[in-house]
Amino acid sequence: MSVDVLSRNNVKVMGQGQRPLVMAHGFGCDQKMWRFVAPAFAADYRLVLFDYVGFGESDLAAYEPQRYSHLQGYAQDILDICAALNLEQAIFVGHSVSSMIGLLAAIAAPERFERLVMIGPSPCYINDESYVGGFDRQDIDQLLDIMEKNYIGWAHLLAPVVMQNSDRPQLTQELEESFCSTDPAIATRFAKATFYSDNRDDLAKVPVPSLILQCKDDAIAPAEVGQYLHQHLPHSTLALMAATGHCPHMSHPDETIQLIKTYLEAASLSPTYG
Amino acid sequence: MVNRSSTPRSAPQGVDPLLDQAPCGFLSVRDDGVIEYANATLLTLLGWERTALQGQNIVAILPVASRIFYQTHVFPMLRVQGAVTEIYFSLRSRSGQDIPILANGVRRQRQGDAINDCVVIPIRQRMQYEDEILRAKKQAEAAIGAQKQAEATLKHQYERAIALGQITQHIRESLDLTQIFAVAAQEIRQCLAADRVGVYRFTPADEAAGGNFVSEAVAPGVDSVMVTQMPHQGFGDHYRGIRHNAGTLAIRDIHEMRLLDEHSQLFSQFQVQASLVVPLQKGHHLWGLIVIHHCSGPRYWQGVEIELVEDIAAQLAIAIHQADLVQRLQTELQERQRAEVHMTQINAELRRATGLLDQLAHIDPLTQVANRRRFSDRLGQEWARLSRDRLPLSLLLFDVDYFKYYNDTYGHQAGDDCLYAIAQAAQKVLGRPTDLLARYGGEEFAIILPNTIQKGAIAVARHIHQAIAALAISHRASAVGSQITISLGISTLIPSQKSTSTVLTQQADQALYRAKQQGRNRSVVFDPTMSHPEPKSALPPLS
Repeated sequence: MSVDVLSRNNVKVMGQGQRPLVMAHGFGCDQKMWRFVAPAFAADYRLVLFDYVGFGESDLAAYEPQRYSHLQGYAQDILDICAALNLEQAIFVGHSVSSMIGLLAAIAAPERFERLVMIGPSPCYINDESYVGGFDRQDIDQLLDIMEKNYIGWAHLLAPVVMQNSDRPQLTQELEESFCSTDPAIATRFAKATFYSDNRDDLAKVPVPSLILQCKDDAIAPAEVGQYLHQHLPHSTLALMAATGHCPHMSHPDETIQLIKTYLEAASLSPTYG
Repeated sequence: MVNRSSTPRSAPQGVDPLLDQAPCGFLSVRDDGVIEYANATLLTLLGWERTALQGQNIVAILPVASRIFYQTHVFPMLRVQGAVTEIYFSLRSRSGQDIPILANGVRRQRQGDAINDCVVIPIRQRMQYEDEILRAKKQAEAAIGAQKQAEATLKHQYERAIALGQITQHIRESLDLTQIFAVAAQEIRQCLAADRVGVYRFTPADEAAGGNFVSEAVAPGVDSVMVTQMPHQGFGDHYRGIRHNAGTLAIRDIHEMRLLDEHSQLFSQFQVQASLVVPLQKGHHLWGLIVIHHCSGPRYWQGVEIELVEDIAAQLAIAIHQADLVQRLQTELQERQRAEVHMTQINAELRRATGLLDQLAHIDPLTQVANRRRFSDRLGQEWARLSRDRLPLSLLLFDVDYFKYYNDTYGHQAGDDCLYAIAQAAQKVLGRPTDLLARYGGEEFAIILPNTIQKGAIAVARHIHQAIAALAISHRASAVGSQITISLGISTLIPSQKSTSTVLTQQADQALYRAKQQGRNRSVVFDPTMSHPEPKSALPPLS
């Protein structure tokens, strides 16, 4: 493709190692979320950080509503980046929804990936008969309502009806400072793609071994979900963390780094052996 | 909840009484979510005792949706940017009531640790009118959206009309299917912003076989399926199913299809992610397919897009039908041309045969000069013509001297050869195309000399005597010499419509008679006194 993927996805490559390690941010954030753990891997890996189209400093002009209404569209971002950098046998580290996005990418192109590391993953957020995802549809609708009010800009609620950011540079700047996406439609679409997704049927197809990092008291990915994943993902390792919450790489970076390193060493993928 | 901190609360000493009286809630939360401190205003708002709430995870005071928002937005922003401003979400009171709030937060460093301090303002009353404003805003946006949608639909319709118009025009202007397909593929590709558009043709009269791509348009950087001929069969296998289905097939995501491994490989080789396939009909028969590929990701095919391609397919069906008609007409035309050429050949042969017959009817078979019949026809024609033009006509009649004796002496075969030789020698003397030598009978010959005065006729007669003498054919039975000679009569007239050519022949005959009487081997010119016994004038003997 003629698109410059590296600038489209604001791809940053760093580190002194050979083996590629791709870090994919989750819903609501951008690649800045990795700043507390990424430096620990820089010496031994070729680190690849990026923003999904529509977030962070990605190229908003490349945003296609249809493509990004579905997690496959985000997986294609990852595959595009892998192709652009010619990555093979990469270690993929995804936070939250990016765990599932990376999983779809690995099914589509197994040769690109060696291991998946999933931080707070969930294959399905909505409760479904005996399956416990943790949420009902109305919870997600309320989340969309909260997001809408925040993204439009609380202080600017009384501002003119039509949102034309070019007319209101000040607002744009403020939103950029506070949110990783300035466009409520983009953020809402990612939220829907994330929380209405159901990837349970894909789990058996994953050809790559994986590590599941399950936090204690995670309000988004409960312990049952971690158990479910471990049961249904072939070659998976479940690590129960002492960390609480949903963002251990930000709240408990040391433990997160240690668990990932231990897993990769056990798999002989540490730089010493690899 | 486990409180791992040894510090029970984080507010600086001496600030507590002030914080407790503040007209807003105050909350200190650790990165792991544990609430270290809540001021009295907030505790009252939520209905918690301080000792009960401190040490709890913040999840305890958040409704479900706000828990997600806190984990995905509020905490990451505090952690990454160090502050949040005017963030809206809800808190849940101990009795289960949700309270909308606005929060400002800032991250504060402690010794080797950090804490997030938040100011919380309940906004329950504002919520009502703000919700109304938001609703109004949404309605306005929906109206604008509908207007944009209408404009987009119009634009779509316009583009569609243009594309259809161009293709229709091409079909009218051209009977060349290759060119029409190329234009159609290009137009569809541009209108739909598709990566690859191909025209696929099933092998005619073979249900089991696949087919091949006969035209294609691809976006820059997209591989051509047509260039690599190899995988056509694979596509053919895949599309054969459609052959019996015969309807439009829109596939949003090729990965959701249950494909055979080799088909799936083929699609991934050409990066196909989504496809739209529309049948091309020829009458009631499925001729081929328009195949559209999208390569950059799954694609939902809109109704208007499908309709456009179907409209174009209908136009292409007309073009295919027309091209077929033209081909049949051309075949017919070629057959007709072949038949005409054949007919012309037959006609030419017929003409040649007729000409030959005609010639045979007018030629004396022994001497190969004109026969008596031809002589009579020509004499009549020349008589009529020259009588109109008032021009002279001469006639020579000559006879081989003592030919009966020649036959008796040398035999009939030699006699025939002799007549042939005389005829050919006399023929060579005649220079003009209108002059005619004919065998008049037995050993008698006649020569018609149109537009010739007496003097000219005499000259021709002399030349004929010389030519025959030059043959030097021995004739030992002749009484006038040792070689073949002739006697010749000459007559010249300006023909008149009042009389007939018989006059001329009679006069020449009388002159010939005189020549014989006068001793043969000579020419005699007719003169009116010839009805009398003595000639008035005679040419001297030749030898």
